[in-house]
Amino acid sequence: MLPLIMKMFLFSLFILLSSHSYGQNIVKGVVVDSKGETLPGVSVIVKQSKLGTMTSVDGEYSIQAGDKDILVFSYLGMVTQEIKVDGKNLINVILQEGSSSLDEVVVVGYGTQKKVSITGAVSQINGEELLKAPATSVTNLLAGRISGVAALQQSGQPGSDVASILVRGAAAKYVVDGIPRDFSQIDPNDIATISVLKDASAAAVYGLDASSVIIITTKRGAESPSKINFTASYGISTNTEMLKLLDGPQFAYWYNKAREMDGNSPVFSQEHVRKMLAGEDGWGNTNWYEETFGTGTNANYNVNASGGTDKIKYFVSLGYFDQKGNVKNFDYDRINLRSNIDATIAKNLTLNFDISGRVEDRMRSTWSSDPTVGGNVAQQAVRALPFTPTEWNGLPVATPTASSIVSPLVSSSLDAGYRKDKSNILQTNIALNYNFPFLKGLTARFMVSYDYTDAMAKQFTIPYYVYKANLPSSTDGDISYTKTQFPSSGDAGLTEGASRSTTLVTNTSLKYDNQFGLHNISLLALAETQKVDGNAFSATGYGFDILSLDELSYATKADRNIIGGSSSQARMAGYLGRLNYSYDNKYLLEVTSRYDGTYQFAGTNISGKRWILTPATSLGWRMSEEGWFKNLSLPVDNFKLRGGIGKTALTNGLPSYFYLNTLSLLSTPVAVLGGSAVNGLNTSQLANINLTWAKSLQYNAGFDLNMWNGLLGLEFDVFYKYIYDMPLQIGSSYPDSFGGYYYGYENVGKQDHKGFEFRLSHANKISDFSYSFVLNGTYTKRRWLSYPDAVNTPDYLKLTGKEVGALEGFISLGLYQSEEEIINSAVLASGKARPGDIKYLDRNGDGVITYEQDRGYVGKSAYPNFTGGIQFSGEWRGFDISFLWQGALGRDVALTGIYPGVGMDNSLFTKTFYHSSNTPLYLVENSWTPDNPSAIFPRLSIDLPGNNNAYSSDFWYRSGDYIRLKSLQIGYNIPTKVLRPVGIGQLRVYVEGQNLLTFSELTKYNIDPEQPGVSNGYYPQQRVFAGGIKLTF
Amino acid sequence: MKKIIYLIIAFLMIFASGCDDFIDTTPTDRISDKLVWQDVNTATLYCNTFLAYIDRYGVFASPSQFNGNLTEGLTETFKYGSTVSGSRAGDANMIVFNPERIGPDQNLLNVWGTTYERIRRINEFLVGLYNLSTFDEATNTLFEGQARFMRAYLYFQLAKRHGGVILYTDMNLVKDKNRSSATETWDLIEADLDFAATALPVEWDAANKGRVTKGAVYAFKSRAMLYAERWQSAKDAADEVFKLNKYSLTAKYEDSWKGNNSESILEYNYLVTGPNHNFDAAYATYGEAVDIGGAGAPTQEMVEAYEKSDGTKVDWTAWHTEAGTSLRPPYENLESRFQATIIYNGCEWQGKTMENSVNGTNGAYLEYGTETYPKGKTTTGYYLRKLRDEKLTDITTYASSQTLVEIRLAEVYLNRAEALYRLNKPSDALKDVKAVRDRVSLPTATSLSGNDLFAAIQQERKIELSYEGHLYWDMRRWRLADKNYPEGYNNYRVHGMKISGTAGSYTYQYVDCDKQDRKFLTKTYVLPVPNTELNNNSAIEQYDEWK
Repeated sequence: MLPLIMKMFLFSLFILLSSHSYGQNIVKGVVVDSKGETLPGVSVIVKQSKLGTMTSVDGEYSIQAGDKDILVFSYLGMVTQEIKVDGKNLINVILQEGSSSLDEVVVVGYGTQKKVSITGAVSQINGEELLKAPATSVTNLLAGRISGVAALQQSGQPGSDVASILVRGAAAKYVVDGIPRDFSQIDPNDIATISVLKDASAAAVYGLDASSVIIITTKRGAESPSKINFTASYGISTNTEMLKLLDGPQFAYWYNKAREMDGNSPVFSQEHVRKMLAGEDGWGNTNWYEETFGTGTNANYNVNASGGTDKIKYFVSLGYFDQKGNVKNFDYDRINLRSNIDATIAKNLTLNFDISGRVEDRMRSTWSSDPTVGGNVAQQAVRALPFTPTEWNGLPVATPTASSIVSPLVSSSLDAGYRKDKSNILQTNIALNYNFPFLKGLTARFMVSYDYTDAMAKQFTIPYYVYKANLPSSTDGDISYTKTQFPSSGDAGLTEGASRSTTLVTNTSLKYDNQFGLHNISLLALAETQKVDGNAFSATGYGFDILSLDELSYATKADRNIIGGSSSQARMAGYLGRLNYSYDNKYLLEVTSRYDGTYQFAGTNISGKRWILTPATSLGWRMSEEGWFKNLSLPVDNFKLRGGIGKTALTNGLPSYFYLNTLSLLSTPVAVLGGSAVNGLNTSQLANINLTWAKSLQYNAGFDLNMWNGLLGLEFDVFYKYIYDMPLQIGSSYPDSFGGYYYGYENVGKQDHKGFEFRLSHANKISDFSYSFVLNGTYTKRRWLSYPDAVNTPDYLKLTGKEVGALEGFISLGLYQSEEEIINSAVLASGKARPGDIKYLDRNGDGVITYEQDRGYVGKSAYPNFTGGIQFSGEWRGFDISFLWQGALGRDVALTGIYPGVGMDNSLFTKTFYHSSNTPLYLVENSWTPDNPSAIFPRLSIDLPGNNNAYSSDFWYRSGDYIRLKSLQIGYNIPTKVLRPVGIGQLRVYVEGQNLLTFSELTKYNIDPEQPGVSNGYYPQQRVFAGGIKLTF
Repeated sequence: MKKIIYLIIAFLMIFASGCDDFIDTTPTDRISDKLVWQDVNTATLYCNTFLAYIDRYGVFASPSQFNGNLTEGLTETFKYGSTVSGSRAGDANMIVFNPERIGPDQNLLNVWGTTYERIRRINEFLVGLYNLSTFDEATNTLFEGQARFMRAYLYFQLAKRHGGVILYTDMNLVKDKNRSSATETWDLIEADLDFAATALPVEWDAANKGRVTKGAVYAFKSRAMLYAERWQSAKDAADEVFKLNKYSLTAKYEDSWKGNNSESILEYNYLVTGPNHNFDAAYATYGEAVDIGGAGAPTQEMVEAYEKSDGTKVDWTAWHTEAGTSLRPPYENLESRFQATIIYNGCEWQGKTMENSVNGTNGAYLEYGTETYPKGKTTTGYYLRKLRDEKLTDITTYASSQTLVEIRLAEVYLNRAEALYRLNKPSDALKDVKAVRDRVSLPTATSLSGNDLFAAIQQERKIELSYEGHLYWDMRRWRLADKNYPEGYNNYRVHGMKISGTAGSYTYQYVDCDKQDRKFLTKTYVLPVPNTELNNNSAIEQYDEWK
């Protein structure tokens, strides 16, 4: 193959030299893709005469065409182009990859369909898209790329940084290669397409929990010579935002000031500050946060090969992903292996044999970084006091907080122990496909999939010695240190656990496809079963004579051994019938009906609860195919109206067996009788034999519009989803005297979700510069229509009518400016407010503020109303650039927190010296003083008295709106002429980044807008810079 | 076309058959409720659950009643060291400084919801027993007796806080239900106890030792009937206890609350491996562990409540000086129950000589209000010895297993003494007081009556039953708590000894440990119906005090 430019030049020369002819000319040219690679097998058709040819192996074609003819160039996965001959003899064409192509094939439920004939709301992106950003978890690559999909990533911890995804405001079902499976740890290099079925008419075919579906399809081989791809990338990661906490001297200054505001004498003297800066006498000046959060690395390698003959096709892939966190010892690595094989094993009989596996290793110090776990490493980093050195007398320094001491550096080191999680996941799909010889279009398919996961977790906690710093109690005092063991327990503890789960899915179907004149018919009947079994056990031992022999056998404290074990099982089955009918490719109809059963509901003894029928239908009208439309001579390639309605059924989140009256053993012994502990048995929650599926009715209407040969594409959908019979816990609607004697769950909840989404695309080529641009957005409003509210409470305390996920709290009226104002206001009984504290609205007017009576749903949900993205990719002479801006609007973030089992409280971000720890600079700098009455934040205070400001209120809500440059990639393709001699097909080098820029109100506090709901320190989102190469042989 | 349809039908037929069976699964972590009443072992497990409720209202459980705090924190005898709310932190301080914190929304003394859940479980058990039991009459009676004792125990918890409450004895629950009168509530408690007393044995076999006995029922009844002000019933019940001839006071006071002895009538046992508690960690002295302990401490007021061994009182004026004195308080002269109850400066504890002073290492002093949590230090100069397990020295590794003695014979003496006093039988009452004082060799007046007799009973309950969860509730039922100090709990502060210096040259300063006045609101004699009830019960009437 000659270099492209050379080839084009020769062709042009040839055409110029060749003879002119009239009427029917020979038109020649080369067809290449956007990267300049020649495309063999492109169909070139004269639109008028329907005569056509294909491009050769080198992408060349030659065809007879008249001056006024139009040539149609089409290729799978590319935007079809129509070009007028207009007397030209040379027409070189660059086909754009794109989803607006009229021939684009889209993965839908149990099959594929041409995009133009789809009647539901379906979006698809190609796997290649995902490779335009640094790879972490696939879930993080979806944000901003697909309309209707919102993704929120709340952690940056290696191996735990998956984003939570909502499709049109609700959780979606995930399907990988036809089987319900998680996709978060798939190697992005293996993904062919990600398809999102957003409305019921598209999703209902998947039954169980499929109110919307995200379908991942992995790559397969094609009938072509072997192709080997090798990619490697390496990157570094840092926190997107670095908190600015007080340094030693700042701490001394503001701490004294806060004591002064509380009416106490200062603690720190000038001499103390001098010693901090000089590092004398046990003083120091440490930025624990920066010491803890450094720079991490990501390395990603993948080699894959694909190809095949007419008998056998293959795609095999091996990937290795290694993430070293920017906190020491927080590591994750993953090996992905995949082999997808398609073979014709007999006449009319083909076999798909897919096997994939991965090995995941997660490693961290024994302290987690889970924000809901007290004392997590990130929390220690934000709480540690800054005026000490990191070490004292050869031991690490710990600083006190209100509860336990913190020492972030030793807690994140392996001296404190470790936690290792290893899992092995094996996934297999075996399918047989049979084409019935006696009836054209009739096929049968039987697929069985067996997934096996085993996981081992081992956690070793080693108590270690630290020097605990003691604050001076007055300016005359000095810092002192006490040697102490941390955590306080004297014994090393080892917990080891193993769990295993297997999933067996069978999927049997008959399909009939045929065309009768202008009638196109496709029928599908399918039966599916799913069997999930799991078991787990764990053991804990204490006391190890030799710490390096960290095995349970060597635990010495036999009286402290703990063992546990459990098992579970789940069974589901479903039947599906589907009819697709189209007339003349103009009028499109799809009708589906699915019948599903699940073990979660009562079956034999009561009817109509376990099994559910979910029908759906949708219609499409390709107006652009109508004669009268064509006569309008609009520059419209495709205009299709779509509409659908369907029912889906959900159980998600519902625990099992709430239809059975059962008793269970209590987790701990209840008493000691005759010197031995005895167990107790308790009734479980009252059985609701009528418990059944939640249902949703979904309506969708939209249109697809393609104009000017791909210059403009527009998809627009409006949707309304009515969810009813949602199983909810109903305790809130019963008085205490019922003693909990009510159903665990009852089908009482109702919600509606409504909104719209759009996708606007534009692709063009100007001279050598080709580019594409996609703008997408989704607006979703979620509302409770019915919630089991307490009857005798005011409306503002009822969820019915409120936004789903709305933040709860007081309405604040600013800060008290004087004692007089406090005396004349309703106040909380729990603490005496002072000037500079937050004033609240007495909503029930009873003269006192109580959390139970005066709060309400006053904030928005953390999930955005609007999400969107702007994608751009451009290419110029081997250089390419692509970037994605992603944004979320209409969301609130509360800086206070709700703690499990504790309730509302301040966090570090709302209260100075909260929990006797360090404080962010912004909070003290903008705090109230009599001289600064218009301050943004309440008065400085150490902690006395009361906790007036601790309550959740709109005072602490901040807009969580953000726009961020989610990813950017710049690449260069080394010219083929350079590579050809060394036998390389393609070589691309690139640099890329993730979370490069963020615009949000929260960044001025150095808080990432995607922070979790409760933040007292968590593993922050990461900014990644990476570079890589891709080689093709 | 027909062929296809036939094929599809045939295909669906194959898969439809047996699919419902495929889906039927059995839980692996629980059993069906029908099995309970066919197997006595299973029913016994079911019944065992209720025993844990004794712990839940006791002094060791955390959290339990009053969020796991000692109600003595609401009296002059005990001071919590933390300035912020929280279990074994500053909850008690929050309430004594700010009794408005007791209300229908927030009320740490509230046990309404949890207690109704427990009552419901017992009623569920009884309804099952009455309708489904396949056991013989004797077995059924034993089950019913245990369950009904616990039901009375639970209704007592509600009645002593509220008076009349919603009464359920079956499973016919209705959302809108009014409360019954106090009389009806006490009637139900009395009836359940009377049944239990006849149903339960005087003694269980060795394997079942720890279950409720006849003696426990009567002993508890003597307590409950004091709250009901049914003096005769209280006296009669106490008499029944003595009639059993099974119990006697232990020789030493310090053994009386440790359980497993002649004095213990109703107790709940623990094991290190569970069920257990962490009372020792919470109230540990400084130096026993890092960063924990010292949650609360006995006050100077409590110390001064003790008589000398000869029955006279110490004149404490010399130590009521903020400037301090080097004179050592006469701790050793106080009666023996003091040494058994309180860890004071210079005493021995776990083999160490205590130094509850500013720079102490075995015990240390902290000025209240200067730290959020005391972390092992005392804010009064004292630590609690009673209820603690002196033998447990590794509190960071091991949980506590000190037995909870919910009722012991000394209380029954004092219950009867009070009943007799109310029944106007002063000399009989004094005999019971004397029985208690004799053990610790304290002299008893030969004749007392009227207020003097009542004062003697009060004093004896305060000292003998200290930190066992009585004082605060006694002061409420006597309707004394709203009086000004020292009669009641309004407008006072508790004090302690700030001890500085080193052994041999200590200075004792009298310090105000509260720094603000403690209050008691009269209306809190009756705790309000919580809003969690009112929000969904449209028929119940709030108590007049709270309307």
